[in-house]
Amino acid sequence: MTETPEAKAARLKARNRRNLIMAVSLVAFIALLFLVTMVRLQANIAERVL
Amino acid sequence: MTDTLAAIRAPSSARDYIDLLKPRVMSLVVFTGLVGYVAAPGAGDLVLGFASILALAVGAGASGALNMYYDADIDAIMRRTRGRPVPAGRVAAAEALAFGLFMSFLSVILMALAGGPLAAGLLAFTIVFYAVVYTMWLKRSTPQNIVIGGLAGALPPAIAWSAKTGAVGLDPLLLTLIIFMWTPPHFWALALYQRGDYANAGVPMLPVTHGAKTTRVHILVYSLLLAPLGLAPVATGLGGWVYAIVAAIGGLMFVLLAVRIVASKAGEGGSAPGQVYVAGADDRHARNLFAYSILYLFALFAALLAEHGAGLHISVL
Repeated sequence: MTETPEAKAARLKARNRRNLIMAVSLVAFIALLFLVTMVRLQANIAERVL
Repeated sequence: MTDTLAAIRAPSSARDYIDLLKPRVMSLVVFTGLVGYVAAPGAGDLVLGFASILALAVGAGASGALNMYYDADIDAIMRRTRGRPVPAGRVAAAEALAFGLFMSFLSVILMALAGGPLAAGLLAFTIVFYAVVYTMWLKRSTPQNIVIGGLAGALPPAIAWSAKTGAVGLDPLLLTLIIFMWTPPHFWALALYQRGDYANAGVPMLPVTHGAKTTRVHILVYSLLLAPLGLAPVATGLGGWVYAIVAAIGGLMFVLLAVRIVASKAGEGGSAPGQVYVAGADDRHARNLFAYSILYLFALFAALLAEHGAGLHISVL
């Protein structure tokens, strides 16, 4: 039971698509963490007693 | 070897992974969580609010993936769930487990950063409660499975509230209690007309273990408790006139539909454990309540959203 060329092409296409979505999700997640950190920092600086 | 294995299973698509997150359940979690966040006192921050609700959504999705990993054997038997990615063979069980664990970790980390330690702790508790206590233990062992397990689905408003304020008070607990009390009649109505599926899969839902008549009475009792409970936020000032009217009319309708179920033969379509399900004519009453219960909960929370998000809140007291 070996994989046909068509099935292999479909599998690779699906894998590439998954990888792309995963990469975009990770970049978005990192960007969100950066934003959250900045907002938290701003709030903490604003509340700091001088 | 890799080629041989890959040929056995169709390639997983991104859609399969989205399905693992139970998007319909996730939408309810996001909605009730959003209302909890908006209704909580304070101005809040748009970025932190978005990140908190996203963490809540991802956490709920992760719970769904862990549930699908563990329940693949049951899901493969039930008609309603046999098309899910794991039982259908589109995603390997181990992949669903890894996906669920990874997403759980990400969601709790994000919630800790955006909503603070209390919200993150509550989210972690919710994921563990749903995946371990409900899925692995209660679901297969007691007809009270969805009563106790309903706590996981009831906590999102309190989690979101605590993400904004750093605390949990009476108001978010009331919202949690409303969803907690809403869950049994909602799922028992579903179980009444799908009891054959549950029986075949060996899931001890109330209609399977105690029969349709007992289930119908339980639905009415919980509905009678839910209707006044739905009005409780009016007494604390959380709900204003709009909410009060929606809760009063909605609660009354809920009880009326529950009374119609009790007066009917819903759930007595002729299936017993091991038999093929046969729909009874009175099952429409159970279907009606199931559909209406979704509308009821949506209307309650939409009223709160309108009052606190659009400035329509006029206190009753």
